[in-house]
Parts: sequence; C-alpha cells; structure tokens
Amino acid sequence: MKFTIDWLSDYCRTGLPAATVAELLTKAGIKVEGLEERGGETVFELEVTANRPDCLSVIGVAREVSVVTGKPVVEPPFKLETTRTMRSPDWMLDVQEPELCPRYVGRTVKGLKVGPAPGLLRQRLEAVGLRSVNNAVDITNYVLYECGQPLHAFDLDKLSGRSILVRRGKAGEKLKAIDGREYDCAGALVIADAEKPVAIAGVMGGKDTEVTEGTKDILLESAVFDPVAVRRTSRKLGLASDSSYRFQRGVDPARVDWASRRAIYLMREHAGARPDTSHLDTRPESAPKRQLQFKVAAIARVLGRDVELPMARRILETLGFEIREDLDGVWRIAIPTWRSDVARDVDLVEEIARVHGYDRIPTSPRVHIALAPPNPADEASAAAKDALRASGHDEVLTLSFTGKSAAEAPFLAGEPVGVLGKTGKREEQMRQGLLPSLLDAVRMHEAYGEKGADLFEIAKVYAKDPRGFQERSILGVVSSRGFAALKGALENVLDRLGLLAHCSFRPAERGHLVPGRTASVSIDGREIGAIGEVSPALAAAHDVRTRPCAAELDWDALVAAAKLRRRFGEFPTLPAVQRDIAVVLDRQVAWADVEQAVRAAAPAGLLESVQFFDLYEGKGIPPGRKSVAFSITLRAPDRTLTSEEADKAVQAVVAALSQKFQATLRQ
Amino acid sequence: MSDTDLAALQQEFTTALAAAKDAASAERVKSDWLGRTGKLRSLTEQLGKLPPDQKKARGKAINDLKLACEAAAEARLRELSASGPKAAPADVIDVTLPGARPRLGRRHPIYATMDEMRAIFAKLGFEAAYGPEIETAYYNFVSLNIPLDHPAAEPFDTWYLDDPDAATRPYRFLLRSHTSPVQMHVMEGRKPPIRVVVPGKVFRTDPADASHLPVFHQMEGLMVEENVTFADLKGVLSIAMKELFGAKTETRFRPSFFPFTEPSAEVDVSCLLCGGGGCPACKGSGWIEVLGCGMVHPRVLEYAKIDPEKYSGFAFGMGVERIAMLKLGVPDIRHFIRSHPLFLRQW
Ligand SMILES: [Zn+2]
Repeated sequence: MKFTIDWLSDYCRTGLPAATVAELLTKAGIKVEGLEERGGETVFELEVTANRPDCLSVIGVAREVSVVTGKPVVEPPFKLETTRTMRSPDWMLDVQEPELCPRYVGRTVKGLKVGPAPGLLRQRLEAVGLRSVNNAVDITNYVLYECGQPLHAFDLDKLSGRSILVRRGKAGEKLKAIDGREYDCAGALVIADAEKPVAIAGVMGGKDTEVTEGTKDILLESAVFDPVAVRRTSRKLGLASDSSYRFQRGVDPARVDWASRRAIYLMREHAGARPDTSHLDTRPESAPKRQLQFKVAAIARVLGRDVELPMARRILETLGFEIREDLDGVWRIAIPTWRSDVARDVDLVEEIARVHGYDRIPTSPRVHIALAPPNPADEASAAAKDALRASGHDEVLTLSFTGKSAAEAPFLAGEPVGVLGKTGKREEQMRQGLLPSLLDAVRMHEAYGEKGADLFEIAKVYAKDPRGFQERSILGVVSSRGFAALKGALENVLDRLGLLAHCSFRPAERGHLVPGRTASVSIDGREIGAIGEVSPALAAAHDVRTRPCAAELDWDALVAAAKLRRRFGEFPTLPAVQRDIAVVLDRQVAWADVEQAVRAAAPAGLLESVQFFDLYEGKGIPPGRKSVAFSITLRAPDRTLTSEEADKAVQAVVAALSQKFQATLRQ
Repeated sequence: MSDTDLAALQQEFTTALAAAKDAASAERVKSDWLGRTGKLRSLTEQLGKLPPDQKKARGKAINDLKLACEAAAEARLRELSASGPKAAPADVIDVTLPGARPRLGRRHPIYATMDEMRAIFAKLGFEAAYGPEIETAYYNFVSLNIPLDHPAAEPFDTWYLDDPDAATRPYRFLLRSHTSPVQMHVMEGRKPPIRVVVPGKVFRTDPADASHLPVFHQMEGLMVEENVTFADLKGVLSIAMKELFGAKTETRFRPSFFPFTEPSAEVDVSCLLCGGGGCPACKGSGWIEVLGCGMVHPRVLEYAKIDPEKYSGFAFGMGVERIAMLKLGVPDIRHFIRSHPLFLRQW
C-alpha cells in the first residue's frame, strides 16, 4: 500500500519528519517498507499484514499514526444535504443472495460532467500507482484509498431496466470487464441489470456499463461481499483488483454508507453533479459493536511483565476500543468496527504490547534447564557423513523435483508424485530416487573440467502406491573411482553405524545399473538398496561422459538398524601368526564363497580373520581362471601358536579350496 | 679462591666452548661445567666453608659467573645448530612441494548451518524433531489457525499434490510450505513440557531467482510449558542469536503477524557487516531481519488438545538458506543447489 505523506497529513498532522513517522509505525507493527521521494512528494510504502485490512486505507493508517504520535485524527469534513436524498428512486435494487452480499448501498447522482479529475486527486492516485481515468472513476478510487471501502460507478442509463440484481451468474453468462477481457460468470456472484451481468461482485465492473465521457447519471455501488466468495471467484478467474483485495480481508461495515456519501459529495464538488440524489440500502441499521471480556491479568501472563493499567487503558482507547465496564480486573470492551481481527484476550495483549513497545518487555529468560536428548537420526547421519567425507565425498544439496514427466531410475516403487503449481496444473514431479539428481551434479563437475565426481546426499524421495503417498529418506552416493572404492566407502559408513557385520552384498540386477556389475545391499538379510556401475544409457541421459558407480540405500532403515553405542571388548594380547595364501581357481567363483570355505576349513577357535588382498588374471594364469590372494590371521587365546600349527591350518584351507573349487596353490 | 680465580674459570670455559665444533660437543662442555656434577657446582659447595661476612659477596659472584656461562653456552649452541650437519645432496627433498593430501569431502553449507543451529538450541534444551514433507491442508494450515480460503494462507504459495482422489478427502495433500506442521504433530504426540526444534525442507511455488528457491530449508522451534512468556521468548532468542551470529549481536523485536502466534514478532539482528552503523547490506538501517516468532496462539493449543489456560508457549521459525547466506556471504541462493565443484570446495 502506497500513498503520499501529504495525503496522510490531511487526517493526522504530526509535524514530524516522514522518517520519524515511518520508524514509529514500524516499531508498532505497521511496517514501512520504503520512503520514496517522487515529484517533490514523499511516498510511503507499507507492508500490511493479512490481519490488518483497516490499514489498507489512508484514514486507517492515520489512526495508527495518531496512536504512535499522540496527535488527533481529523476525519475529512463534508456535508451531504440530507433533505435532497429522500427523493424516491427511479431505479430498482434486488439482492437475491443476501448471505454473500449482506449489505448493498446504491446511490444515484445526476447531471455529471465527465472530465479530468482535479490535479491534487490525480497526483495522489498516481502516487498510489493508479492511472487517472476520469473525475468520476478517480473519485471512486480516491475514496477507496481514503477509507478502504471499494466503490463502483455504473452509467445508470446503460443499466437495462434501471435495475441492479445481486445474483449468481448463470451457465453461459459472460462479462467483458473493464480490463477488456471476457470472463465466465457461471456460478460467480455477479451484479446484473435486467438482462445480463454488469459486474463481477467485489472484483471488477463491466466494460459496457462503465462511466465514459458521455455519461450523465451514475449509480454508485458501495457494498459488502462475502470474503470467501470474492476470494474463490478472484482465484478462479485469475483476476484480482484493489476491490477484491479488500473484500477478501474484510471491510469496515461502518464505512459502507459513509464512503458512498463521501464519493457523491466529491462528485458534486469536482464533477459538477446536481445536488439531488436517491439511495437504497439493504441494511441501513448498524450492527452493535462486538464485545469482549478482557481479563487484564492476561497482560502479565502473556508478556512476562505488567503494563500499568492506566497505560493499558489509554492505549486501547486511542486505538478505538471502548472500555465500557471494569469488574474486578475484567474489562468489558467494545471492539471498533474496523478491527474484525480482534477476538480474544491475546489479541488485546498484542495491541497493548505493540503500542507500549516490544523493547519494554524484558529480555530475561527464566526458563529452567532441560535435557535435549540427541535424535538417533541426527547421530546416525553425523557418523555416516563423517565416513563419506573421510573417503573424499562432497556433500551436495539437490532439488526434490525431477523436471521430467516420466519416472526415472526410481528407488521407491510406485507412481511418481506430481505437484500442482499456482495455475492448478501439474508443473513438477517429485523425485523417486536420488541418482538422477546426483548424475546432474556429476555433469556439473565434468562441465567444469573434473573427471567425474564423488558426491553424496541424504534426502527424501517420493512415490504413490496403493497405500497412498509415500516418502522415504535415502542415502545416495556417486563415485568416480570404481566399484571397489565406492563399496569400500559404503563399508566405512556401515562400520560407523555398527552394521558392517550385519551387511551383505550379493549380485543383483537393477534397470539403471550395468548387469554383472551390480549388487544388492542387505542388513541382516533384508535388502535396503543397491550399488553398481551406472548404465551408459542413464549416464548419457544426464550428459555424463564418465562411468560413475552409484549406490542408494534406504536411510530410514539404516537409522533404525544402527548400533551407535559402543562398549569395551576384551582383545587378545598374545601374538598372532599371519599367512598369505594365493590360489588359482575358476573365474566365476565368488570371493564370498571362498571366504566362507576358508572359515569352515580353518581349525576351530584359531582363525581370527580372513583378508582378501589381490586378484589377478592374465599372463601366467590359464584362461577362465583367476588368482586370488588373501591372508589369514591365526591366534590362540591362551598360548603362542607354533609355526607347525600355522602350517597345518594353511594346508587344511588349501585342501578345502582344492576340493570345493578345484583350486590350486599358486607358486 | 679469589675473584681472579673466577675470571680465569670463565676464560677457561669460553675457550672450551669455542673448541666445540658441533652441537653435541658444546652440549658436553655445557654439562661438564654447569651440570649437576659440573665444575661450577663444586664452587657453590665450597661456599659453606667461608666466614659469614664473605659468604654473601662470594655467592653473588659465583651466581653471576654461572649466568654468564649459561648465556654463552646457549649462544654457542644456537650458532652451531644454525650451521648444523650437511645432508648428502642425494638425500635432499624439495620440501616446498605440496603435501600428498588425501581428498577430504566437504560438508554442504546448508546442512552445516542447520547442524550448527540445531546444536545451539540443543544447549538450550531444545531437541530435534522431524515430520513428513507430504502433509495435509489440516496440518499445514487449519490446525495452525490459518483458515483455508483466507488471505492469511496466501504468503504460503503452496504446492498441492496431483491427486485424483482429492475431492473425496477431508483435506487435500500438499508439500508442506513451512516446518510448522511438525509443531502440531509433536504437540499431539506428547504432553508439555515440550521443547523442540524442527529442521527440514519446505516447498513454495516461487520460481528460482537470486533469493528464492522452490525447495528450501527452515528451522522451527517450539516451547510449551506452564508460565512461558514473551519475556522468555525474547531471552531465549537473544541468546541463540548471539551464539549464531557472534557475542556482540543485538536483537530487535518488531510487532508482526502470523496466524499461529499472538502476539507475533519479527526479529532483526544488528547487521553482521557494519555492526549497526548502516551499510548497503542492511540498506542503511543497521538491522537485518532473520526470523519470525511469537506466543503460540491459544487456538493452536486448542487444536492440539492442550489447555491454553494451563500452558503457554512460544514458537519461532527461520530460513536456513537466508541465515547461511548472511553468515557465509553467499550472494545468490541458487549456488546452494548447483553442485558447482568450486562452490562445494569452499567449505
Ligand atoms: Zn550493515
């Protein structure tokens, strides 16, 4: 909301510099976003929150200025001779939807001379950001900005049957609005004449009945429309206006007739209109003010400090609240008509606090100390991220949207989840896996001269399945250093999570990973993800030129399984014996099976560990065979092993491998 | 012995030191003279035999000699170690070559900032809580006193899910547009006292530009206990802001509006760059807006079935990207999601 300080001064003359007024208002919660010099005028720009539609008018802001400066509010003085307003109307009003239009005030004015508006009025509207149209239209806008009540002027002679009907639009009814575009009126609340809609109620008037140079007589509308109805219509039509903005937030019922009279007065003064006028009002009696029982103890209870009661009383009264009764610390308060936002004790406490000053509330926490137990997910992620960074992986942050319409490399089973943007159309799709985002990050690295990238992220992925919408946190990692390096990094993560002994990697297939170079990852036999080389097709789809390896693991499952608490374990102190063994066996024999056979064959209680250290194929090894080298560590808890015992163990291992896999000892 | 003897001893020591051609021999000379069984030590032992009137002067003379010898020994050692033994040319390495650094991964600044913020509030007794990113309009709006079809819902430009069954559901599904729904889940799940912070992703239909992203992060805080007041809110946040931005940081509370708190406030901190004097970063005001907060609206407590007559609380929320940009001087929010290698390696 913008307006000139000169206009504001009409209703509250402070004698203070604009910057001081701005600071005082901001301190009281009416945020002045900017002060701008334009054409010798200082223009205020306010950010008005949704709860304060009363500040969407210059008079409303003047009231706040009065509260923070102590200077009085001066309402614009005008007089509309009442004797002439009683003439019986030569037009008709029928509100068929009183729920959606609780009040409609129509006034006619005749003999208008349409022309340019007076200079001051034009200047003020231009500062607000409005284009001057003509004196009649400018006056309706001027009064709207002055008091917050939207008005609309119809050319009375163009209203068929000289009638105003407030009804719902019928199927097929259309309206060409003053913005020149055509809108579908079906179902919307409209203002109609005897034949057709002439305005979309509370939003915009029609082109055909607008005030033009030839207009002589005007019917001026000042009404109240249901906020939700206006909002829905405005959204449905994609059409917003100063009027719809105010109706959605609620207008001051006490200004409806005032605004109508004020505009007619100005039309007489500045547009040559004749003094005679007629008017119809569907609810001329004013509703009693809402009342609230305010327990003053709430002030100290909410703020943590007392505000002296005379001060609290003064603040509320300057804001327009009437304290009608004071019974044992309970004030019966009448709420001003323009403050529909005030409904409870706390609302009044806020009024007192903001005017009294938030800086007068002490900054003294007397909160008692409390424990904040660590969240297991946070502990697990700190451990996992540590391990990944230690193996050279950078953490990335990527968007949760795919930017694509089809599912790609999904981790979570089901349909992709689409989301609707402002227009109500499906604009984006939630990712079902992290791999596509990570590949885009790899491409970014390649584009800047890197040979691939080592990256990770823990984030959610989404899908829709028969049970409903699903989301799951997953850990995604990409590596430029091959399968073994990535697997090693994952093993470090699993080690930090206390899960290394619980995990297994098995050959597996995934659509987006290269067959034969892919493994599933399981914890205690339950599959939680996969690791493998990214398929050339998927890499190409993301313009990735290298051949990255990638892994995705169900992070929620890892957190649930993680064993982060450590306890001391007794460890052997006697020396161990280590022997290296190299065997030649068939290429397709898996190391996991070799290791299992070694463990089974070694003398019970002596084998401490089996450690793979080399794989060799090629020169010196027959085709279809491979050489596998590993070391075994033997240790007895109670004595030092002799070299004969160790030799016997090696023989047993070699014999078992030879029997099971036709392995031969490599010399 | 006389003072002349002492002068002779000093001369003898100086000659011995000069004769030492490397550090080891100089050390040996030093310990022969000044060590526990050294020559000068025996002088001190002889002091006892002197008549008392001579003892004092003699003691001082011996001590002076000792100090002079020690200084001479140190000087000689320094001199010798500076020249030192020479390495064979073949053994010389170029110590100016870079170290063989193992590649060390970096934390992403957003997650790092979030961790830092979480740790600060953990010290104040706030534990971390998490909640779903796919929410219903009930939790995102209604239960937080934001009526649907009301302008108060407008600042939360919300992504609704594409859901063929939307019409049959009491509340539509959406991507949470703030972390506040987790407040409600926490309050429904346990009784006060409650102190939690909620870090996490939030979603808005804002197109990406230098200061907006459609997906970003917030950290929400909630405290509900008996007799919690606005003064407590001010106290807790002032301390937290000092921890986050530095001990000299001042905070300013300005009245504002959020549907789920009453009274509500926006919090400014003194500008990190100019310290409050005014500069382009703070548009000359000396203050920078960092968070929104307020006393939990009694309506919200009622939705959570917590008695607002018995309990009160405060809530606050801040944008993690905004705080990271301020703290780290990142000029464009899109840097965070671009995965540019030269950006990632700055942290
Ligand atoms: Zn500054």
